[in-house]
Amino acid sequence: MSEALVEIDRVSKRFGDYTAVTDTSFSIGEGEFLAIMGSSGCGKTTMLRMLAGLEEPSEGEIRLEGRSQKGLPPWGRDLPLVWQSLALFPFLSVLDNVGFGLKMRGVAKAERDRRSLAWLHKLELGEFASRNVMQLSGGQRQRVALARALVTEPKVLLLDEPLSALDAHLSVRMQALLRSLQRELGITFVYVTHSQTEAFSMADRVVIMSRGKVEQIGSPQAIYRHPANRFVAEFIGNVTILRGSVAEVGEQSVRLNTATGGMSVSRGNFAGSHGAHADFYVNADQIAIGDEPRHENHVRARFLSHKFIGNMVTLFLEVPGIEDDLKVILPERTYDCLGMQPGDSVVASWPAAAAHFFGGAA
Amino acid sequence: MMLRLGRWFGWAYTGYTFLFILAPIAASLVFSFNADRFPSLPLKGFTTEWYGGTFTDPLVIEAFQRSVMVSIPVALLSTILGFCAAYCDFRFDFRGKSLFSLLMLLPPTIPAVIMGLGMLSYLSRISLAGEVWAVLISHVVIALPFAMAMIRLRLAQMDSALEEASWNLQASPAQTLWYVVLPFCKQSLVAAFLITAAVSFDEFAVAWFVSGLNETVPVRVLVFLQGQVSPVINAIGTAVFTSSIFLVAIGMAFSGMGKAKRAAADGPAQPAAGALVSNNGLSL
Repeated sequence: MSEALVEIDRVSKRFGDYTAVTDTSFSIGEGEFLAIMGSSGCGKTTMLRMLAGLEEPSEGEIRLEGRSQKGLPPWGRDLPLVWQSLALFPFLSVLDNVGFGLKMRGVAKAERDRRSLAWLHKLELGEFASRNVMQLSGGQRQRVALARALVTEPKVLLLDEPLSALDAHLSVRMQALLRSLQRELGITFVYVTHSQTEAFSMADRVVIMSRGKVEQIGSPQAIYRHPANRFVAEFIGNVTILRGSVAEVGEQSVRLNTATGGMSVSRGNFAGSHGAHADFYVNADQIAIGDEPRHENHVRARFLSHKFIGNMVTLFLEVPGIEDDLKVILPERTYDCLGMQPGDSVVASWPAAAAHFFGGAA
Repeated sequence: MMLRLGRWFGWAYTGYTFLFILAPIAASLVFSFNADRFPSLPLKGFTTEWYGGTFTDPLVIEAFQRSVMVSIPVALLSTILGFCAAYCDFRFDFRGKSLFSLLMLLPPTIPAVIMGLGMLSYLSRISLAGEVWAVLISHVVIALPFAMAMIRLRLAQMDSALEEASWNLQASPAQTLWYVVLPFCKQSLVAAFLITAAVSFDEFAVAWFVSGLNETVPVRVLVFLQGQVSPVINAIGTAVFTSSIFLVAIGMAFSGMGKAKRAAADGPAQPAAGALVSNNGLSL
């Protein structure tokens, strides 16, 4: 990430009694693909609307290239938005939809049409230029909306759940298109979504929001491996959270007493002392399953059910003394070789390096 | 069996209602071509004499000209003001907004006699009673709610993101109004124009109060009736009916135009504009 292009500085937004965004700060680098992710009502769309100037922050300010955007109306900013509903103009042709922003900037018709057409060709829509937007398919309209926002060559493009209306197959293709377009143009993308797949497959960095607050900012890998807190861990859903009291703080690892016996957890920058209670999490894809323990931490568990996700399988195990199911992710082939049946008793084991304290990863 | 009987009854009832509404108009149409001076059966034979007589009568021609001269500016003004009122209601939130909307839509619910009297007493105080202006002003008051209602219905179909998208593409609010909102409402504007023209062209009661010597067609017809029962009235009635139904039909076609094309993206099509026009026909 290079220097900050957009700075969000202690921004809050209230609607009457309701606080949509609370004291939020982060910055967005030039040429970065940033995804803002969270479930509905988490404040992600409000954040985007504040960037576009459609809402004014109640407190704090947003800076673009160091300039405060305070008080600037939407039409005074150059932050085009791709809308969830697309918001194409139904009474205009495809070409005129794309050229709208140029027209408002006073670009002459010939130049406007030339530039719009170039973008339509780039997005493989050249042959539809004279059509009405209502005659296009969902995926084609999506690309028209993209062309309309990009034709003015902005530095930052805002996208509000643009793929949520497309079917899975089309969505995957659009993700690839967006990613390659972003790389090629070097434009900063701010992409709001509730979909983990979209955020993790495209973004350089992901901002996870919940109830108006940022829970974690980081690369998809960092968030996946080291969720900052219980909320993120549960939201991403690839770890099991356990709890214990500290028995011994060692050089590399911390020994805890848990409901299922002693466990070793990577120490990281853990600062607790003897007897303190602490939550920790175990990465689901670093747990081994077998008849014998293969790592220092091990529990005896009962195999409950499984779920296929592509070529990986998520297993749910019942462990006496633990409230949640223990989640284990295995390659499909490994799972096949185990030949387990629901109800079977198995041993799950993992090294200390697979378990971490929240926020404690070095 | 019960279901079929119910359906049969439904059709019969609908048919009877239409007969009840349309029979006088049909009678007027038939007798306007009847050779007999008196509207009685059996018919005496076909003639266009009454039409010929009507459209050479300078008083009738003058009344027609006046009706057209009034209805076009009325339609134009009502459509413009109706759009402003509808957009105001759509876009802004302000104290007393529901009262504002209620007052805007009130005139058609006021009995025509009360409206006519009120208009007469008001307009005579500002020395406009008996002028063509008086008819024009009164008709704008009566026709404006129709225009507002039709345009407001169309605005309700507009994705609220559409205006925001326009601002986002650096169009000012004024440019957005001109390049986005007006084009979006275009068909309903044309429909509102035609239907308010029809409302004005047909309106009798208030015009009778305020027009003085500047008679519009419906007023002229009443004056005729007071003097004599002439088949000329049937001819005028038929002509007025035809022109009004023509305006309303085109208006409806416009308000429903491209329904199939829009249906997918726009949600429900707006109700037929004609349903808004009521209580304004010629009462012959």
